[in-house]
Amino acid sequence: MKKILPLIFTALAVIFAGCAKEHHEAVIVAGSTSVQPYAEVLAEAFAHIRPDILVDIQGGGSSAGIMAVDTSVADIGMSSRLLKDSEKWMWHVEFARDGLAIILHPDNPVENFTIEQLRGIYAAEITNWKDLGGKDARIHVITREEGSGTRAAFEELVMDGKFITPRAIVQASNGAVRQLVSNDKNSIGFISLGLVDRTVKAASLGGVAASRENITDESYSLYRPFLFITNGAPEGDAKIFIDFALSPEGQRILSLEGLVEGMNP
Amino acid sequence: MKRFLRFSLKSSCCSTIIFNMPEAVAKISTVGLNLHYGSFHALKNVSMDIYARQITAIIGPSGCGKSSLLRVFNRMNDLIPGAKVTGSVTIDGSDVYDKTSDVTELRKRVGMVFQKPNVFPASVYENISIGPKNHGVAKNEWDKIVERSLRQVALWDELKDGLKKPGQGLSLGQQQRLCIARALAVEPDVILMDESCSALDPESTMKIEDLMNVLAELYTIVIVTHNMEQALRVSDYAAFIMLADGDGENKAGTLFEYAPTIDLFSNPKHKYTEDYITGRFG
Amino acid sequence: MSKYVFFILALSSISALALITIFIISRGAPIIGEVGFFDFVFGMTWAPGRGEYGIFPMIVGSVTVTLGAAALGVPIGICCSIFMTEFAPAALRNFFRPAIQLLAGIPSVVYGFWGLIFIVPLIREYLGGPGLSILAGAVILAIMILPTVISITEVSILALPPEYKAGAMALGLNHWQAIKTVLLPAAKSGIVAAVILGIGRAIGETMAVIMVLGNAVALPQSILDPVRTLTTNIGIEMGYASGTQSQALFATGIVLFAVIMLLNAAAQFITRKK
Repeated sequence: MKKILPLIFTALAVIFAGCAKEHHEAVIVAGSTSVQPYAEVLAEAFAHIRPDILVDIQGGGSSAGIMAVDTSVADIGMSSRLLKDSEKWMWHVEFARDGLAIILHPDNPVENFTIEQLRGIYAAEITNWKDLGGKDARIHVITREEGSGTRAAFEELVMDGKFITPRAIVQASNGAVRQLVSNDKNSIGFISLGLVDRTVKAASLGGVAASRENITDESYSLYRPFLFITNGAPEGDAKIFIDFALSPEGQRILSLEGLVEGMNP
Repeated sequence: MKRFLRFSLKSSCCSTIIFNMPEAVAKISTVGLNLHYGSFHALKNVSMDIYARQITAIIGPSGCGKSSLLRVFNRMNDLIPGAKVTGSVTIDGSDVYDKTSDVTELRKRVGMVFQKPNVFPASVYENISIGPKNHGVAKNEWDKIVERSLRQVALWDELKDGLKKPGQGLSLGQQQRLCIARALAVEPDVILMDESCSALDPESTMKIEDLMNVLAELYTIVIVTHNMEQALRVSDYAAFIMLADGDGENKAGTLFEYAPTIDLFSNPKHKYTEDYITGRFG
Repeated sequence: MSKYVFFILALSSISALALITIFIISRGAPIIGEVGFFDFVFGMTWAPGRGEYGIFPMIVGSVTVTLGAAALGVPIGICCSIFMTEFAPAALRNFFRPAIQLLAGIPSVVYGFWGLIFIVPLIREYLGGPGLSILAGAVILAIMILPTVISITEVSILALPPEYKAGAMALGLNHWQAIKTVLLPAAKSGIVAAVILGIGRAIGETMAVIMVLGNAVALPQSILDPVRTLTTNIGIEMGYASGTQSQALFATGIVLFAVIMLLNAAAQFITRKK
């Protein structure tokens, strides 16, 4: 018995060693956790076309991802915000846009807001639907948790420095927000446009409906740019991956996931 | 106290032997009382009178049904599932087992003291006032009642400065007297004492026996005891319940002999009774 | 030889406790020092993004939800115990007891989910507000602590000498009077222990309530308002917290730790006094 054990161990070692794929170094993609799930979907599809190229997606946040590219720790950076002036020197492409929809219960008579009204609602300055032409009922404000990229986008695009009311209900995912709004007639929330379904309705902003077209032509202003960033023009495996993202196939995949096509497809 | 007694013996095979005393007033009367616990026939055709303001001792060998008989009088048997009483039991003429009567009223009138002192885990004051409290007596009366009850059992001087102390902190003898006081607090007519001294030391026992004599001035007392000397010392009447007759036949729960204590002990009518009293079995 | 093995194994469980305690305190204590104890514990604003770390609204949340759960769960639990020990026929008792144990076996997350689907809409519909509220949390937790309250109360009542009840009945008390004035007071210390343990369970619950409380950071003004507890605060923000915010969450953990240790000590003290 004792003689067989080392034999078994050696066999296992050989088998596992054989499992290591022979390929180039992985393409490291790091950055926004909002972009991350979509990058992963792209990577999965990419693996079918180029199984020899390993794409490794990591989170860490937009800023961390940009810095990682700057210091050449990562090959590609993901960002869900526009580049700051100090960062603009890096190569970047907006490969998609993530629309931000303001959702209401389908039975809510209110259908349209101005940005000022939206801000007022979320700052708890407007507290009753009747002030907006709706029923006489308190507005139940729903927001995402503080670390959420969606929330950060909302604060930046809508709140203009005002704080979201501490009395707002906090839910930890887009899906949870949507479910809550679909059940509560007096609620309001914000989610990714791609996740709007028949259980809720998306309000229009200043008369402009929340639609892919209106985001593409920027008449609907609530959206986040999804950027890929590289240190210098992309090359090698990183370029192949980014090209895939920008290709019709890549864009089709992204739009199936709910994203809107970017400005430079 | 000696009383002139008269026997009347009806002879038939399933005989009822009736003992009565024309001069004494019957407080509790049973006629043809039978008690079953399920299929077990615990008391067989017991007919007797318990006389008012006398001490009646119920004696007999272990398991003969003494405690069961006692529990008939305050319907504590009702709490035992499967217990069934037939025959007549009356107190002051009214039917104890009348379905429309209030059993809690009965138990107020017929108090019970148990073999082991069962003081509640509360203060002396609370133990005594619990009865009156639940019977609707106003709170401002309780102090009076507590003092009166403790005086009746000769505990007032000992405990009056420690009424808030836990009742279970008293000595066993004191606890049993406290239980008696607790029963007295609800103003009964009858006090049932089920071997109430058997857990106590001789000195406490003596105190309680003295207490019995004092209480008998006001209350009807029925005691169960296996202590023949005690029965002789305190009781006016003695009822002997038998277990099995001389031939070994099971007669558990039969009232065999009932007479004033002096007569029963000095002049038992049956050898069987004599054997028990003198300790040849039991 | 085996003595040493047992000793080491016993040590390992204590050391786990020690490790966790040291870890939490070392991560959390600095921020309490930085922010200041009073500003931390009594601060009204929790906004890590703006560097504000006041947990008072969460303390209020924990206290109100837990007290609400106790207010609902304890009377029902005690009545249930009384029913099972004093009134129920054996057949019913043998059905109830395992059923209540089953309640204890349901995972917290299932409670939370059920609360979200069933309790929250009910509150929203009939009482108003968003439904996600202190009340919803209290209802869920009340159900969750029932098995604890019931089983300990039941044990306490069953442990009473039967002579108490006999004595009470012999005094002419009816069944309910005997229970209320003699048996329950006699079982008091067991019942208190049951309540404290139930409260301890409630205050530490996270998963069940995170879905039904609404998680608003503001101080609640009514039981229909959404709220955060100390536990759900950690649960919600844990995923993305880092640096100072993460320390603040550990500091919240310290506060929780202290509260639960106090409760456990109280329960032990009371049961030992018997």
